[in-house]
Amino acid sequence: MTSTTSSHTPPYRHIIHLDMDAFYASVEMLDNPALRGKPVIVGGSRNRGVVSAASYEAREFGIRSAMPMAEAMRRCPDGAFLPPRMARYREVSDSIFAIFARYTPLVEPLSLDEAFLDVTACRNLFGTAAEIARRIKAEVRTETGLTVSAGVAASKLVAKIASDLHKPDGLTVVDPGTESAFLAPLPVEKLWGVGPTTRKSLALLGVNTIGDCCRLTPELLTSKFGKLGSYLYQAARGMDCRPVEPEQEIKSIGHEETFSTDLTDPAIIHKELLALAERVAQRLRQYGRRGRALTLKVKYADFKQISRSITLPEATDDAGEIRRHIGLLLKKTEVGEKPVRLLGITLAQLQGDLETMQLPLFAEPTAPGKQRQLNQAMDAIKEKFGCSIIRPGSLLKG
Amino acid sequence: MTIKFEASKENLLYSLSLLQNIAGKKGTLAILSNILIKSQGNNVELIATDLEIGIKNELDANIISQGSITLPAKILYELVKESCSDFISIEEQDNYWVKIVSGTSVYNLAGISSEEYPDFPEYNEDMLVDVKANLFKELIDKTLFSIAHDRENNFTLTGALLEKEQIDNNNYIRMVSSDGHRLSIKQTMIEDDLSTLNIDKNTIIPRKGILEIRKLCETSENDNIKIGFDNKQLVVKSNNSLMIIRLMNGDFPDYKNLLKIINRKNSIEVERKTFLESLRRTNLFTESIFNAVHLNIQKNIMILSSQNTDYGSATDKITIEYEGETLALGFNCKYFIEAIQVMSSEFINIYINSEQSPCLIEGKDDIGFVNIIMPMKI
Repeated sequence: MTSTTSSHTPPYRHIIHLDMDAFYASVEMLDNPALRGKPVIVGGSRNRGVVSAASYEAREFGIRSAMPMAEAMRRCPDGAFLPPRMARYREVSDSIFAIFARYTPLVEPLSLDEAFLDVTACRNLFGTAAEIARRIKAEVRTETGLTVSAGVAASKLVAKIASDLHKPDGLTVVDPGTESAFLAPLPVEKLWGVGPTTRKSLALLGVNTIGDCCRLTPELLTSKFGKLGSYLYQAARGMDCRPVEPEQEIKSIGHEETFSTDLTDPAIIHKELLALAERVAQRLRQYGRRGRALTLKVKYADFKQISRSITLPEATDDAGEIRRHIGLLLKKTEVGEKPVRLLGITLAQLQGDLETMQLPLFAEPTAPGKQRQLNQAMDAIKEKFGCSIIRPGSLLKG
Repeated sequence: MTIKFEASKENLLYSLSLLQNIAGKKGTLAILSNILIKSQGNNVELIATDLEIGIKNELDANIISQGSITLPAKILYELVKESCSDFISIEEQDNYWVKIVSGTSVYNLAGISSEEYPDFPEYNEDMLVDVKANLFKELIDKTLFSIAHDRENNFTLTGALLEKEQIDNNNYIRMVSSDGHRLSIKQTMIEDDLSTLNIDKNTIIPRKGILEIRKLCETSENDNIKIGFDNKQLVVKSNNSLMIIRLMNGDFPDYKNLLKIINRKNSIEVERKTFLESLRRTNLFTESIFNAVHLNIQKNIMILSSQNTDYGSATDKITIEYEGETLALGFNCKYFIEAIQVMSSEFINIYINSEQSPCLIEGKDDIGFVNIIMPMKI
């Protein structure tokens, strides 16, 4: 058989998924050798927090990420329970990403401890993808003392499943063309997007492994699961053409808050929206961006979710401006009539702050320049003394 | 009495088309998407209103029985447009149903009682003055482009300001518009006496009204139209149309003060067409939101340049007459294009003083026209 692929496009891609093993817990053990070999759990407070990371020793007690801390403590009363030290993890993460960057500029970070690398174009320099993965693993170990698991495949989907297969310190290579055989015996929930609900529905169709899923026709999958169905059809065969996207540009900035009790009091809702607007505006300014497409998201107590959007006459990074327009959007919702579980504010269509700025012909009632100076001054105060030092009067407690 | 009449397809279609922008929209009041049809002697009146603008149109028709009814504007217009006959007969039946016969087609259309239709505003015929339709249209054409589309901070900018003034015993009317970044002024001399024209200090016509007046002027061509202000409304009358537009409340920004502070010393003279063509070329490579063009102005040379992150960049050089200091500044290219393309002078003068002060454009043959553009920070 001859290959018909053109010489310009490589027949398939070479993607490595790298995932640090129990990252936060491993860093803690690295910094405090006394913890080595012990169950180490990093997470929030005893009452309401959840587990962020658990060492492999802790996992033997059945402790998993996102499990409530209280339950983790019940399962393993003698474990070392530590609060997360994000700054330190970020520092270690930076040196790991520096190692990744030696091999390819195409590094897509997923979090502090996880990334995709596309090494298709750099194999002439460094050897096969599997060799590159091996070299990265060795460099990470000698330079940071930590272990990383790697999956090598022709797509992001398969590489990610592969890296998870032989943890910790694993290296799994899936050769092109063998994806179906590799995936077939794995449980179907290994596929991204298959949660408990979908897994149950699939089980009713006799689907337990990814291989079982391959036996279903695309029509059946689509009729049962809609969009997810057509994705499942492709994913079960290891088909995934999403590119590795380095350093994604920020497309929107937003914030949302789920309330501990459902909100009905308009005065409190207004306060919460102002607080959200403050946060979003501050983050916009942090990134030096201004947004034009404003969206208000509301989830009611009955879990029904709606969103309402508006395009602002001019891009903004000012909380007052955001709050004013949110007021208009609020009228298009049932907020105040139905109890509200979640509120969110997002700004998209972002523009650079330093881009060209059209000067106004007439001095406007609220001169944007002055508001801007005020915001800058407040941001500087917050940076020095903390976020709660200066805020709108209506957000003061008592 | 139930109305029954016959009219030519051509006349009916034309009248209905003039009302579509007003009645064709879905609004809060269901009856406003209907038009009112009323027999008046030997004519039929068609009326549409959105409560901001009311239009009344007279139509030659063969009245068989007098009466009035309202019918859905959009479907009636489409029906007449698609009609296969030159004549259309409209006859009211029981319960506000209307039978429409056009050639081989027979339609039954559900109407609403004319009693539910809002009253057409009253006005005083005596205060109307004559203005040439094409002169008034010119006022609009030279200011329409800089009326703001939506502006929350300064609502009055979504309309055009109308003023009258007597200069050296001549009467002038003037239209001014601004979107907050640029300003257009056009004034024209009116031969008729304007003393009965009650123009307040802040007579602001909404953008939508301006568009409708323009349409009315277009159909009147070389004839006169009558205009008048009464009771916070503008009345515009042509041979067979009457339009009443509610004026906007609020203060228009003080543009006269702005004119005073612009120094007309540092002048650039440039051939209008050359500059316009160069701007259009350079605009191909501007970013879509700000359309920023950089102007580098040196002795007798202007260099225009633009940059687009997706495509690349453009540079153009044109000859100008300029003796002042070198200037480097940014503008919204579109603002310049829109101003210069409504002008007709062969050469225009651009007065620029600094990177952050307003720039003024005039042309010898563009009498009564001034455009002011605020630069961009670059």
